[in-house]
Amino acid sequence: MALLRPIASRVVALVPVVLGITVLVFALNAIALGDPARAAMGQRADPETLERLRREYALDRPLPVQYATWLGRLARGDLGESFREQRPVGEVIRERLPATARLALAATLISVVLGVGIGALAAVRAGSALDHLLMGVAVLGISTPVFWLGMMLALVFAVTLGWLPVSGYGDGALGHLVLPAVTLGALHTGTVARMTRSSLLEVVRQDFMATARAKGLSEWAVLGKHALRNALVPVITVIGIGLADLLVGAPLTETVFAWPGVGRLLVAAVGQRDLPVVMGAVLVFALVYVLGNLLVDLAYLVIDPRMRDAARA
Amino acid sequence: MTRAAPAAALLLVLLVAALSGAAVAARPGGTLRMVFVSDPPTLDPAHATDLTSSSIIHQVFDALLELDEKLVPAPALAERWSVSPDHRVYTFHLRRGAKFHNGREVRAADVKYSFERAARGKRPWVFDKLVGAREFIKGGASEIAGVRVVDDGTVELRLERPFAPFLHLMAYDAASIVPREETDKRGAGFASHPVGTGAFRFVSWRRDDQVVLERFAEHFRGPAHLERVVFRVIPAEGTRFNEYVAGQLDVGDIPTGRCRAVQADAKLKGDVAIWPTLGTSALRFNVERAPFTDARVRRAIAHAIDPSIIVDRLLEGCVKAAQGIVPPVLAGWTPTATRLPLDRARARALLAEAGFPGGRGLGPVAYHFNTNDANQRIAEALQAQLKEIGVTLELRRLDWAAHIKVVDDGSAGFFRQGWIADYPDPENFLTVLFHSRNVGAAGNTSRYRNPAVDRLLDEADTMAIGAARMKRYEEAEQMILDDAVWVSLYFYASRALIKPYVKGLERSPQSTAPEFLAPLRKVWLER
Amino acid sequence: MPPAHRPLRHRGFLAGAVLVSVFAAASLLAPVLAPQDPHAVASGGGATLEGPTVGHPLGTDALGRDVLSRVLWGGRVSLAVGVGVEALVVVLGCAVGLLAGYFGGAVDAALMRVTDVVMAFPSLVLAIGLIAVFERPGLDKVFIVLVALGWTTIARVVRGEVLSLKARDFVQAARALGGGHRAIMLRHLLPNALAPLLVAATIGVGGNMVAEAGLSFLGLGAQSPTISWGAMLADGQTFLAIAPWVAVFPGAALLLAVLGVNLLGDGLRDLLDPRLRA
Repeated sequence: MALLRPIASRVVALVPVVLGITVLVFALNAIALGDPARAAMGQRADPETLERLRREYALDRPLPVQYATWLGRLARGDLGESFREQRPVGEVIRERLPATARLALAATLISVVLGVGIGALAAVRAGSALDHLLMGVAVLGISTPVFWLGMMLALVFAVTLGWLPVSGYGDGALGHLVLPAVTLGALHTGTVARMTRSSLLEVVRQDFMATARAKGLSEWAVLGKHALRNALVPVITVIGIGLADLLVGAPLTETVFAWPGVGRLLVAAVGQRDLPVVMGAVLVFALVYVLGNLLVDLAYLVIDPRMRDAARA
Repeated sequence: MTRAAPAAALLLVLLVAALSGAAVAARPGGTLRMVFVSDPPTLDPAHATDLTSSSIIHQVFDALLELDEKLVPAPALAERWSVSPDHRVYTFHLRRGAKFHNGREVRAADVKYSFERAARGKRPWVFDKLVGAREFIKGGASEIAGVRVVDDGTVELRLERPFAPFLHLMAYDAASIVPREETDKRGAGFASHPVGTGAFRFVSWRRDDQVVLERFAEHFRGPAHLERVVFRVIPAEGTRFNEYVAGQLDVGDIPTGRCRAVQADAKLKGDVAIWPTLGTSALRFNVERAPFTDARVRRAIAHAIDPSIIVDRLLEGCVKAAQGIVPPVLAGWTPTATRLPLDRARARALLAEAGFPGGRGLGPVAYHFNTNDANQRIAEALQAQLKEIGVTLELRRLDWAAHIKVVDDGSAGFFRQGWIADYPDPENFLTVLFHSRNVGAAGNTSRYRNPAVDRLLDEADTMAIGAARMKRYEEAEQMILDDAVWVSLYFYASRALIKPYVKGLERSPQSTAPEFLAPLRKVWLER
Repeated sequence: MPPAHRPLRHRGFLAGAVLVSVFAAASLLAPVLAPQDPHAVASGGGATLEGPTVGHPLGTDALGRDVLSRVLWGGRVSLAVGVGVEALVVVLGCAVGLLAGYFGGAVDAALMRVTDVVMAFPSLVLAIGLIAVFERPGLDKVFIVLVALGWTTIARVVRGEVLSLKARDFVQAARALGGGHRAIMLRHLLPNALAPLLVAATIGVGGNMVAEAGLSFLGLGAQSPTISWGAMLADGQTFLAIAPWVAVFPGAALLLAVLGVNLLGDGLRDLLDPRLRA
């Protein structure tokens, strides 16, 4: 198939990127102030126990050796053991992946639906007060700190109105997913909205749109059938970039809503200098981001083979 | 009045008596919903080092002894005990019929196994007073010689030297009794699925979400009132508060900065519980680092600090200003020490004497503290206060792991120290924090070496409990304060919100809300 | 017809310009405009966490300091970080973008791999990790972190422009006229990429300000006595329920500043790039 080579070459290109990320993270953790053995103890730590823990964690070996060991284990599918919990990192992450996945998917769905909707509406009424209002809301979404938005939403909908639970996973009940997903999605909704609006307007300008209008089709039909498909490309780009926003916003959202996900785990692990967990979690994030971009690239190819190179720029 | 009236009156009295009796009697059943700030790293007594893990361990396991509400050692798995005249041999007689959650009865061999297992864990200091413990921990011996199984129901413990708080150590959660067959069977998994003798047995643990315990019907004290206990994990304090207000938590904590507001709130003020805990917040100097090698510089800074704005404003009067190092709530302690008082003139004079008139030549002084809203504000207040004597404070805010590293390895010269007692004895404050043999991570991060203080502490550590022993500690405390190695700010207080239907929840000085170390078997819900 | 080549008619651009000017002026003139010493801690009977009064039009914070004065001074940090970081980002990003786009081939592939790595990196972790590396957190470290993370967008934009100019035989023509690599890149390619570059840079300023606030919020940024809106937000958010002004005013200031910069950037894009006029 014509698509096989581009796909294969992209997948191959992923490897050095992911590896590069792991090297960076490892280096950072290694030179960061703070000692995992000491961080694992409480307010007091006797020197002998510290020494013993350091040996257990293999912290006394030179850094390149530690990284090589980690890489070797990774090749065998072993992510090592968490310093703090003394359990396999794979287990630690696996327990929390489903929660983050659900949150991320829900947030993406919300941001795409809301974002495209707001952007389209603004494009149709371009230049009007509604347009400015909607775009104002979009910028607000981009500039509002995630932490704050989450707290405010919880205060209104959970504490005051009692419609939704304040926090927690709740064994997967849908109600518990609403507030965290809206909070996480809000940031990205703004970007999607702006992008949709500007690319729709660009398409509207083009000649074939004028032709379609001349044929007597209503504004919505023009927009819907012709504009949207062509405007889709930048929107897909933005969704891809949105993965980065999600990954950044997830830890904060998970913290506010006590959501047991990988984002929260990552921040806590950095704070405890739990190196194996940090490496494992960053690997997961990097893979998600990189695979997301891959899917975006593939989507371009599917939609319009001509855009192969222009899309990369 | 007819003849029926006295009978009716009698009936009424009986009715009232019966009703009030019913209101006082504990009701069985219900689920208590508590909350933690972070997920416990482990539920294994041998490996836990933090309060969160300890709170759960206290419910799932028992030790030989437990501390009652006044922090006095009381029988738990040990029914009675005796101490030799030289205070070096403790003989514990185990309760008959106490069972583990898997049904097996507890034996003395379990005590020896549990101690040896925990001594090789993360809190060896709990056991290193026992004869032979040090060799065992280092790997030179195959057992702790000082732990002897006399028979199935009796165990004898020998100490190298008398140690007055030893019974408190036997109530510590690290000394919980664990069943060998379960630790062998589960291996590292024991930390995720603990099995003990406690009033509650482990049910489930969804990481970062919640831990669930249920009543153990065959507990040696009889079944607990509560049917279940759920500990949710909620890191954001605003969210914890919201959950409590929404009625989803039965016990919560008061967010930073809202102490007064909550106390003034009509709906919440009845739920507020504030009580002193065994902890102190202070500033410490590292005497090996210039310019703090000079006691005059240290004293100058101490004289320039006014804790009242911190205690009264920042912490809203919900904590108590501290004069000394050991909190007054410690049983048997008479707080006599006084801190170096606020005296800016004296501070300036001392600085000048030390060669830094008006602060010139001193350069910016680095102050290290760990990330925390309250710590940040306190640091800014200190900055303003020290500016008045010409000292420029440079703030170094680091996360806890980094902070504790620079403090332990001596690169920090002036830093914040908070200390919570492991057990209620002045030894846990003074010897651990100021004896020269504990320099470094072991507790003496001031790197303070004063032979006179060491001598007082050594004597007091081995004396029998009593006024003479306390006197030595008091003397040592005053010396330490005069040397300005430690500048006390305030004593900790627990600030909790407890729903009115939660009864029997002890407020011991060792509980820091929302992590309670209280025995939950005493709790019942009245609804 | 949309407001074409007339900047003064473009409402977004105008609004943006006004906001940005007010913000810049207020920040630069803070020492003159601030009614109180922003560091003065309330002593004795002074008021802490008091709402807006005549003496303190925006209220006081937990240490009794005047919020209005602190908001004015905090703007300087935002301004410095926003513009300063972007300036450095532009230099670095242009360099990478020009080199990658112009030389193509292995150079391009290598530089784009590096770009991918930086972009794929969870920036929150990088921020926390980088700051844990430095024993002294502070504004200078914020600069380092933001520049290290921020150059990728500009690089991509510039590279994209260079690629499209290459496709139009622009480069070949210049070479035919006898230009060296550096001359071509700096004198011919860069000026043509200026429009999208300017737009991206303007929007980048807003992003830097939000990022600095975020880092300060996490405690990783400017240390007291340097005042920053992010640090004020962090301090104030614990009192949202009882003393909202401590966080609301710096938050609003940040919002307006970022809004202004974004409007300016959007407006510039509309005015400069004929293809994308809205």
